[in-house]
Amino acid sequence: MNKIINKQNFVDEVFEPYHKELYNFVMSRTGYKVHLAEDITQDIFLKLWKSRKSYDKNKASIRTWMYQIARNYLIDIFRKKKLEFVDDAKGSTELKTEDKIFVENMLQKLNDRDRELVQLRYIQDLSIKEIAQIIDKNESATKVAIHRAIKKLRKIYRNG
Amino acid sequence: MDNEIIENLKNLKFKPREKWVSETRDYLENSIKIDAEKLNAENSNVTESENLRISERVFKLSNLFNMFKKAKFALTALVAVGAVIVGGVVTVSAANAAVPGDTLYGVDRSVEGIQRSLKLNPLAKAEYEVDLMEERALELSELEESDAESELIEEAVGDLEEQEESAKERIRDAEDNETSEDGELERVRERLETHQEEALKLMQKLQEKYAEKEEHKNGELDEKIQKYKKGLEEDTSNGEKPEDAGNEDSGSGSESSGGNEDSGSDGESGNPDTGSGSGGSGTDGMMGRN
Repeated sequence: MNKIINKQNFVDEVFEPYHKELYNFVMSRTGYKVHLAEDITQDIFLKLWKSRKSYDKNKASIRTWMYQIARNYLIDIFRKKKLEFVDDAKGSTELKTEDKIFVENMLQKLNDRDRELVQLRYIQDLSIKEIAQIIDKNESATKVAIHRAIKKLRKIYRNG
Repeated sequence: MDNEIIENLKNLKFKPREKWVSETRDYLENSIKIDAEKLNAENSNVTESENLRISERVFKLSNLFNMFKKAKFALTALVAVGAVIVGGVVTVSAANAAVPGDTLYGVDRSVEGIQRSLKLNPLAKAEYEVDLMEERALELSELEESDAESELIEEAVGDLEEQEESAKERIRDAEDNETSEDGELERVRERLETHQEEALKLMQKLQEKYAEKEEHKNGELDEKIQKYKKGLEEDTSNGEKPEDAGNEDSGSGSESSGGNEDSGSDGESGNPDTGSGSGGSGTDGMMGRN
């Protein structure tokens, strides 16, 4: 059930259930740079706290609202600050399997929009309806767009 | 093959470091506590010196956190320079969070004036005015939340209305400017529309809240809210008609767009929060803390 977000429950209702999921989402958007993803995820949680009044429980779930804000925040910082990724591979504590590296590389070959759709649908496990709300499109258009993105991914997979 | 790809995608999960999780939790709890403390201080009409003390504590706490996080930076040099500028920074930092009626609110507006003059191109100017509209709406919302006096609310409604006009004017300037990129300008325009919708909701909320108070009935505040609300209603209903009519993104119920969704750039507009954050508090931007 959707709730009102306030100072008493923000950490329990927003941070605790969603920090892993949001971190994972940001990781892919930063090209799997651990420190950068950590900083940005932290900033997004602060942004969520400051934007809590924009949350309308009748319109969306906390999860969908979180992705909407995170997505806009990422678009903003990558555009406005002309953020350049630093190579923080040394800071990465993530142990990657060969499969992970392979899938990461495949995803990096998609354009930003397709990568985001694939990520939201198959990695973040969001429903078509939720994704449509997040990207502000209707459900059928979202479904078609996801289908096309996965088709492109299939092509990349085939070509190695 | 699709199943294999999807299976691989589902396994592409990364776990955040435990240390980061606990640091972030602490950081959020501190920020929330500080916000609540600030609100309480305003509610109990603390004196000017007490306000400053709280703001200093806010600044010190966030600084302390950042110093731990980024200890590799040259602390010695920072401390030396910091000692000279800390007074000014504390004032500006505290001023940024000020709302109408606060001692530092004048400083906040002056800083905005300086920042405004640093914006060089029409699009950046328009974007900044929209940022400021978001800021004015937040201030008004905070005043509403803290049950501020109707005079302060009236002042803040006036400021918001004025700021909205400035934003619209700057957007018109950018429209006249040939160098502005269409996509960018459209995004700024959509941000303005989002804030107008939010402002309208806020006006409705204020109207209901202050109408309950006998002394404000039929008063100047009610009149001001009515007037601004009317303007916003006109603006927001106008905004939907001309340009969006042929746009496949605009009609959520339209099924005709099934095949042409690719034409939209990213469709990042229209969400509850446009997430700029740049013109607001200095703490919420990544660059602000790092």
